[in-house]
Amino acid sequence: MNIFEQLNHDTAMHNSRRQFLKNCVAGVGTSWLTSMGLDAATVVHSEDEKGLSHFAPKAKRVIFLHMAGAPSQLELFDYKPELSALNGKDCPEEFLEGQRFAFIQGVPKMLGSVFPFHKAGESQQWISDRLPYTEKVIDDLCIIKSLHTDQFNHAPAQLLMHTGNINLGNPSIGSWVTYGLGNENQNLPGYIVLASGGKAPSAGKSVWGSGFLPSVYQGVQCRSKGDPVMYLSSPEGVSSDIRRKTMDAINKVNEEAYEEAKDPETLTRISQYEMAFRMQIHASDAFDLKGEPDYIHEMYGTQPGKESFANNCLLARRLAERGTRYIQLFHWGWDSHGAGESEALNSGFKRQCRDTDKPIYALITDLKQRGLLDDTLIVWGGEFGRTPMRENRGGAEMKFIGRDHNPGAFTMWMAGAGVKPGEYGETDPIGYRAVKDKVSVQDLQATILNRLGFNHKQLVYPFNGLDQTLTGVIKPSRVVNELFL
Amino acid sequence: MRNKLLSFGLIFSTTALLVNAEEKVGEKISFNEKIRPILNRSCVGCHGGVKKAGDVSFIYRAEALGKGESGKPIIVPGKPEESDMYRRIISDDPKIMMPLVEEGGHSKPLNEEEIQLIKTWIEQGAHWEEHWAYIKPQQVDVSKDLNNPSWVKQPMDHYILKRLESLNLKPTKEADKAQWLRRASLDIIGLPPTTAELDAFLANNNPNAYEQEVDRLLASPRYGERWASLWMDLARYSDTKGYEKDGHRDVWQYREWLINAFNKDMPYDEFLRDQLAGDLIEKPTADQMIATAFSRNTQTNTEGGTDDEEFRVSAVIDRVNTTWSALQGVTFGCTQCHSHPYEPIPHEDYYKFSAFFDNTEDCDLDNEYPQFLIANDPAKRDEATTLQLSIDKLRQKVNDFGKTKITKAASWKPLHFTELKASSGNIEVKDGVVETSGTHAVHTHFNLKANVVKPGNVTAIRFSIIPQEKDVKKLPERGSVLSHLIVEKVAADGTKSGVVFKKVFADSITGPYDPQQSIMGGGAGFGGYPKLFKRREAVYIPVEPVSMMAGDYLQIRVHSAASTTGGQACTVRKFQMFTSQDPSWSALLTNPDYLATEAELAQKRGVLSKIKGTRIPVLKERPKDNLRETRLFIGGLWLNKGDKQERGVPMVLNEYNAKTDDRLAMVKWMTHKDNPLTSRVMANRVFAELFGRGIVETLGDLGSSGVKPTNLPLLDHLALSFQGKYQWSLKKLLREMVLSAAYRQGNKATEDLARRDPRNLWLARGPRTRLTAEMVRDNALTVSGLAHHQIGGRSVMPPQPSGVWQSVYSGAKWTDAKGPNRYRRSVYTYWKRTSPYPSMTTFDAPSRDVCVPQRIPTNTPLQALVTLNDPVFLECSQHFSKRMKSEGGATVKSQIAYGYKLVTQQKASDHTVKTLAELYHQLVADYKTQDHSKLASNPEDAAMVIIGNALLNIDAAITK
Repeated sequence: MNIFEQLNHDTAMHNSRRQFLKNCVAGVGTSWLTSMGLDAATVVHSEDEKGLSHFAPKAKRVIFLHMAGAPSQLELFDYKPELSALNGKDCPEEFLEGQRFAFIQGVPKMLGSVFPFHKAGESQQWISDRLPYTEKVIDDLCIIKSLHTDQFNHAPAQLLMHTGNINLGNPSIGSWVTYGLGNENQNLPGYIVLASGGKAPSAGKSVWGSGFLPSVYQGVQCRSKGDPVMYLSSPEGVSSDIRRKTMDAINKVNEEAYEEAKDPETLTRISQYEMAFRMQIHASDAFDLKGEPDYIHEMYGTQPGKESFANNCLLARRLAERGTRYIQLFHWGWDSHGAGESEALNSGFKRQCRDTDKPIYALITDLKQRGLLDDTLIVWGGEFGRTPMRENRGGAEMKFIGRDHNPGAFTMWMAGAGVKPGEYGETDPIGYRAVKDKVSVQDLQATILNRLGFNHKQLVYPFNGLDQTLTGVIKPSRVVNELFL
Repeated sequence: MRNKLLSFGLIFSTTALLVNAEEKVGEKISFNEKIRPILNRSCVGCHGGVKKAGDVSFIYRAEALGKGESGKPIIVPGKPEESDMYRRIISDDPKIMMPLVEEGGHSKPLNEEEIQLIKTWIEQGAHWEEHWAYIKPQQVDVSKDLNNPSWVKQPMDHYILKRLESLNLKPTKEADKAQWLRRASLDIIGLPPTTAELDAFLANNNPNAYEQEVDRLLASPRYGERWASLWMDLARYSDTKGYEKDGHRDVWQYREWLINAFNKDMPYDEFLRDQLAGDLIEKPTADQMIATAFSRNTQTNTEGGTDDEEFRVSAVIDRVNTTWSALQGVTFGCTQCHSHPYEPIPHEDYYKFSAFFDNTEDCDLDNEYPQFLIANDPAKRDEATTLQLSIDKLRQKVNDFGKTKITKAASWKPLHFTELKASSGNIEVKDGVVETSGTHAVHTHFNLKANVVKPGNVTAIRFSIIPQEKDVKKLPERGSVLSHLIVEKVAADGTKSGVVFKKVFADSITGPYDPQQSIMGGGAGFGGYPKLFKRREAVYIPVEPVSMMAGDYLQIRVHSAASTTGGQACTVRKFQMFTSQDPSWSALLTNPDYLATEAELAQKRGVLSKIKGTRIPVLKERPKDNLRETRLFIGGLWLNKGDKQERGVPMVLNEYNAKTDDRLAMVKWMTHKDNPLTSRVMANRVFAELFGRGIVETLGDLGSSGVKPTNLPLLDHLALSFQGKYQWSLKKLLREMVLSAAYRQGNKATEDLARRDPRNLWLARGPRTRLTAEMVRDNALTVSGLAHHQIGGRSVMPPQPSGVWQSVYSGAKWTDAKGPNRYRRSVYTYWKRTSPYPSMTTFDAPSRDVCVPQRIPTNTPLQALVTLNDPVFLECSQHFSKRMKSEGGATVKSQIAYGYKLVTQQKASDHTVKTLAELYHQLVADYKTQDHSKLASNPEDAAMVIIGNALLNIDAAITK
C-alpha cells in the first residue's frame, strides 16, 4: 500500500467510524464516544456525504440479476427468422474461420430458435413465448441486443463482467461502488450477494471479491438458509438482552484500553462492536420474509425458508428499501449445451425461464409501486451469449438440443434509474455477432457507474504503481448515453 | 485524468510532509529527492516508458539528453536556456508550454520553486541517479552522532534513534516484561505464551533473560508454522486448483516443506533457490523437488472447453509477477503490456524474464501433469526421487538411439497414397501430404492405401505430424496426436499380413504421453498434446523388415484418441509418411547397448511402481530438443505475438553481469550479494510483520511508484546484515529485531506522541498491531487449551457453516473434522480458492488466487460477529471458561483475572475485573430464568462461558 492507498484506507475506516457515530442510537460505547467529544458534529463534514461521486447520480443502488451459465439470446429476446430458415444446414465456413469454441468441433449445423417469438407491449418489442410475465413489464425494459465480450469460458467471462479483468485478484463492481459511495445503512452490509440455482457462479467468490481494495469492500454473501449473514445469530442460549450486556462490558474494557494506549484502532473496534450488535437485529429483520403479506408471496412465487431465485428477488426489494448499495443476484443453470437434460434448450431451459420469469416481473412491479424503480438500476443478463450453431460436442450430434458459448453477441436488459425503455443495438442476421451500436462489457460497466454518478475513468485506486479503474485501459470504454432518458 | 493528477499531488505532498523539513535544499540538487518526483508527477505520463509524445522521454538520461521530434535538444547539461525542456516549462505560449494545461492536458504548470530546481539541476550538469532501490544497499555509520547512545541495545537501534533525535522525539520507556513476551511470542511463533512460560520469564532475573526467551521461541517447532503462513500468501498456496470446478490438489507437502525449512532456518538464498529452481540442481533431493511446487501453486483451469495454452500462458505470467512482486518488490507486471511507465525496464524484459518459466512441461492439464511421486515413507523419499529422475533420463537415452538417425538418414522415401477415407470430416492428399478438414469426432480414424515406390525390405516407417498453421507466430495450434498406427501389408494376390511394430523413436520425449503407446493403442500416443508447437517426427520399427514386392501395397489406419477438456478432439490433421530400407534401423533392435538401456529402464520402473506415495505438481524443464519459443506479446495479448526473446533479467538490476541462462542462474543473480532488492525486500517484510508497517510501506513495491522509505539507512543496515553477517539466516535477523530497544518499548502513546505520530512511523513507541487471521483463531484454541499440535500433514477441516461450498460441476464437500484435527493450527485449514475459510477471510486472509505481497488490515463489524458467534469461538469459550474456573482460584474475581491474564498476559485492572464480575452476576441471575442448557449445565457455568467469550473479544486479546 502506498501512502495514498493508506490514506484511502484510513478514510474508509474513518468513514465507517464516522457514519456509525452519526447513526448511533444505543449502547454504552456510543455515550462514551460522545463524551469524548467524538460525535457526529465534530467529525462529519458535509462534503463527505457525497462520497467520491462525480455528478448527480440517477441511481442510488443497483440490483444485478446475473443469469450464470449464460442464457441463450436466441431463445429469449433476439428474434432471427433468417437463422430459422438455415435450421439444420451446415454452418458456412465464414463463421468458423479463426474462431475458438469451447465445445463445437469442425463444421456444426445451424440451429433456429427453439421457441416462437412475437411482438409485445406498447413498444412492440420481440420476445419469445418463454417469458410471459416479463412480457407484462417489457415497456419498462431497455433491451440491449448488442453486448459482446472477448471471453468464451464461464469463469473468465464472469470475472470480466464483474471485475473488469479475466484474471483473479481485482475488485468487483460492487466493491468499487461501495468504495466510492459508502453505505447508506450502517446496520447492513452495503454490498450483498444472493445466489440460487444450487451453485455459486463459476468464478466462485472472486466475482464479489474486493481484489486489491481493502477487504471491507467485499461483497457479503447472504443465504436464504441458516444465518442470512454468516455468524449473524448469537449462539443458542445468548438472548439479545444478554448480548447487549456483554457488548457493554466488552466496550467498557476496550475504552480503558483506548485511554491507555491511544490506539485509534481501539476506537474503531468499539464502534464496530456497536455496529455488529445492530446488524444482528436489523439484518435478521431484513432477511425475514415471513412478515410479507400473501399477495406479495403470490406475486413473487416465494416460499419462505427455501433457497430460490424468487426468494432472492423479494430479498432484493427488501434490501433496496433498506438502502443496500449493491445487490448482486446469481442464478445458476443457464449453460444450455444440450449435454444433459437439466440444461438443454428443449428441456431444463424451460424450467430456468419459469423459475425466473415471474419473480423478475414481481421485482420490477413491486419496486415501481413503491416508487423505488426511479432510483434503482436493475441489470439482467449472462456472461456471454450462445452460438447460432447447434453444439456437436465430440464431433457428433447430441441427444438434447443446445448451443455453445458465444462471446460475439448477447442480450442484456436494464430497467429503472433513468434508463430509456426500448431496444438498442443489433446483431447480424443469425444473431452471431453484434454489428450495430455495439456495447462491450467495459461499456456496460461504464454505463452502470454513470448511473451511480461516477465517471468510470475517475473512480480510481492506486495499486501496483497504477491508478487502477474498473474498466481498465486495455480496451476502450464509453458510457452508452443513448440508453438514457 | 484529473483524479490521477490529484493522487500524484497527494503522494507528493504527503511524502514531503513525512520527511519533514529536516532535509534542506543543499548546494547539489539530488535527482532522486527533488527532480524525479517532478518528472514522475508532471512529465512521464506523456514522456515516459509507455507514451513518448514528441519522441521525448524522461526515463533514461541518454534519451533525455537526446533530441525530440522537433529536432531540438531536450536537455543540454549546464545550459538550461538551450534545453528545450526548460524553454517550454518557463514559456507562457500555449503552443509550446509544458506541461500541457489545456482541457484534457495532464498537469498544471510547475511552480516557481520547481522551475528553479530544474534550472539549477540542469546548470549543475543534469546528473541522473537510479532510483534508490536499484542501487545496492550502503552501510552508513550513525553511531557517533547520537545524543543518547545508551538506549541502543542492537545495531539497528542506532538508525531508529538517529531518526527520533532528528525529529526531537524521545523513545518510550521499556515495556513491562509481560507485554514484550506477548508481542515476541505472537510475532515469532504466532501463539501467546503459556502462563508457565510467562511466570518463568517474569521470575528469570538473569541478565540474558530476554535472549534466552528469544532463543527458546526461535527453537520452537511452532516457529515454522507461523512463518509458513506468511509465505503461503506470497506463494498463493491452495488445496484446490482454482477457477470453475476448483477441484482438489495435493500439494500439502509443499506447506510441510516450508514449515521444516523455516524451522531448520534454511538460509534464505537456498530457500529461494530450491523453490524457483530446485528441479535444475544436480541430483535434486525429494525436498528440492517439493519446493518447486512454489511455482505450481498457480491455477489450473479445468473448465470444459477452455484453451489449455491460454491458461498455461496465464500461469507463466503469474509466475513472473509473483517472482517480482514477492521477491523483488518491483511492479514488473506493468511491463507485460508496455515498457514500464516509471522504471527503466523495457517491455521486452518481461518476456525475457518469462522465458525462464516458459519451458516447463506443465500445460494446464486437468491432471496437473507433470506430477512427482513423494513417497509416504520418509525413508524412501530420496530413493523415489532418484528413480523418477533417472527414469526420465533413461527414456531420453533409449530414444537417443533412434532419434539421432531420424532426419539425418537420406534413405526416406515418401509413401504415395492411392485411397483415403476418413471416419469423420474430409481428407485429401496434396504432394504426398495428407490434409484433413471438417468435423473430427474424438476417435476419428483415417484409412489409407499406399504404394511403396521401390520393392525391397522396409525397415522403418516414418510419420511426420505437420502443423496446419504456417505462420510461426500463430503457433501453437490444437493438439495433434497419433494414438494408434496400424499397418497391414497386402500382397498383390490379396493376402493380408499385419505389420508388428517393436519400437517407436521420436524426435523428442516430452509431454504427458509416450510415443510407444501408439503401437499398442492403449494410450494417447505420439504427437503434440495438448498443443502442437511444431512439426513432429516419429519412426516405427517393425519386429521384422517388411518385404515388399512389386504390386504389394500397405493398408494403413491412423487413429487419434486424444482430446482436451470439453471433448475437443486432437486429431492428426496434416501428416506425411515415409519408408526406409536402411538395415541399420532393424539392427538397432538387437544393439546390446540399446537393449541394456531398455532393461535398466524397465527395472527402475518396476522398483518405482512398488513405492506408495502422493503425487504433487512440480516444475520440470522440457528437453532441449523441444523448447517452446518465447515471444513478446504485443500489448500484452497472448494471441498477438512479436519477436522471439532470449532469457534474461533487466539490465538496471544486473550491473554485476551475472549469468542468466536458466532458472538456476537466475536465482543466483537474484541472491547475488550485489542484488539491490532481494535482501531489502525480505528484511522489509520481516520488519513489517514485527513493527506493523514496513520501512517501505509498500512491501510489494520498492520502485519509484512505491512509498519512500521512512529510514533508508535502517533498511540498508538490516538488508546488509541479513545477507552478510547473518548469512541469510532469518532467525538471526529476527533475533536482532525482537531484542532491539525499539521493539522493547512500551506501546502506549502519550497524547502528544499520538498526535505527532498517530501511525507510529518513527517508532518512538513499541508496535501495537492486530493479530492476523491465523493468530485470532490459534490464540482462542491456545487459551482454551484445545489446541492440538502436530507438524505437517494433509489439510484439515475445522467447523464452518454448512452450505458454504457450492462449486459448479463439483461434488466436493466440507466435512467438519472430529477429534484432534478440529483443533489444529489455522495454517493447516483446508484452503479452497473459490471459497476460502470464511472466518479467516473476514480477518483479511486473502483468497490466495494470486500472490498477495501484503495484507491490508481492516476493522469491521463482521469480525466482531466471528469472534462472538462462530461456533468455533463458542467451543473455545466453553473450554476456556472451564479452565478459568478450575485454575483461576476460588473467587469469580480471581477467575476473571486469571482468564484476562491467559488472553493478554497482563494483569487485569480493578475496573476490568469489576466490570466483568458485575456482568457475571447479572448473567447468573438471567440464566436462572433463561435457557442455559446449550452453553453449560448450570447458570454459573453458562455465565462464565459468556465471560470467556467476552475476554476473547476484548481489544487487548485481539491485539499484540
